[in-house]
Amino acid sequence: MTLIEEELVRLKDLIDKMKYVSEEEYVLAYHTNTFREYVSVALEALKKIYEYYKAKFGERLEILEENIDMAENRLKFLSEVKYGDVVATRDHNIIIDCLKSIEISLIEIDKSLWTASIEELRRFYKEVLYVI
Amino acid sequence: MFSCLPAKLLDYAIIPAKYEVEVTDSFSPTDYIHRRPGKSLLETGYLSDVSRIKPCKSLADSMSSIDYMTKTISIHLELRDTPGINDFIRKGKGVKVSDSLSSSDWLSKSIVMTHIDTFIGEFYTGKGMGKSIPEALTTVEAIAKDATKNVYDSGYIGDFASKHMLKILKDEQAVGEYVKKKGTKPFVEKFGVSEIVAKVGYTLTGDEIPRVYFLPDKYKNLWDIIEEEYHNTKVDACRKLYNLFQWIKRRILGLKYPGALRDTIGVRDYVSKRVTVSRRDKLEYDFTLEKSR
Repeated sequence: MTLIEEELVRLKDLIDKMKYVSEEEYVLAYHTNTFREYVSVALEALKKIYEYYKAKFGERLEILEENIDMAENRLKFLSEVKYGDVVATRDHNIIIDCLKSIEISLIEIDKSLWTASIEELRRFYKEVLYVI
Repeated sequence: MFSCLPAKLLDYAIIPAKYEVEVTDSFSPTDYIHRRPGKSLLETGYLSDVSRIKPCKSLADSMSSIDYMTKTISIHLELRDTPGINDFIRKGKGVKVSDSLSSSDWLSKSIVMTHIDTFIGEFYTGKGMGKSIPEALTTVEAIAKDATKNVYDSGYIGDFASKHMLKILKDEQAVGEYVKKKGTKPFVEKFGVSEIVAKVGYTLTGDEIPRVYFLPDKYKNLWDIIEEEYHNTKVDACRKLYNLFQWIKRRILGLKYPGALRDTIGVRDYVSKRVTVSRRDKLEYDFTLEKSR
């Protein structure tokens, strides 16, 4: 039962570090770095979930694999931001691209789990009816 | 510029861009000159023949061919042999001369020939031969200038014309000498097209967030600013994704079967709650929603 337990703890810590900004307030370097680390940890968790899913159901989800690959590749272009660096449009775009990919992947897994559970119920009732 | 993720178009702008294409191999002036140079230059020589009486340097320059000058001498002699058709002049050739002068602007090969013909007529338009000669000279000089000008105009068209226009000039064969001079110059076709800069945005865990764009300096008006709201939206998205992770983990481990995700903490439900409650409070969303069910 320790699936992605470590990643969830790290994600929670990162979320606690995130701060909202108000008008005329600077977006600092650590904000961007926190997002970057969050995306990195989230991708690790997502890959673990997917590995578990494949092992359990023996099914591949192509959409999910594409999104994971895309997020990983885009994350490579996001380097660590230091004090004095200009917050580029690239930083913002890569982060939201990766977050969107993670969101799509999670929803895809949820859909698949939903379908799998229905199929399981269907098989169960078939067996029961057959016995009866 | 576009995203492969499911995004929607937020804004777009049209940026004009100019392209230039140089056509360097569409034209072989040498071949063209060698096809009909003799004929076209010979016609010009008729005009210069007249100008020899009262020289018109522009015509001599445009010819740039001494050989033809020698030929035109004989033609000039022929002209001198032909006077005496006074009857013909009286029938109104003088009017026709003026008509043909006005039409010389069109400058084709046939019109040049017409000039020559009318020039002959003009030569004899005088009431008396003694007076008529200087008058005819004046007229001829004007004709010569017109002719030269027309040639130059045709060349001007060829200079700035597209490849198609140049072919037309070739067919007319009106300015063979000029085409020869300018033929080596590549023709440049300029045209403008436009490209569209499209700006897209996502619906990230229920919140709309746009991608931002940085363009070259000359399109400063299309630059985007990363606003503080975008940052806060990302923080919101991270919190919601954390909850999604927890949800998926419970689902996949079969800890409890809570039904479809979208039915309980669906993004739409969450957004609707945000409308009524303050935003910061709502972001402190707890994953204990399932307990209340």
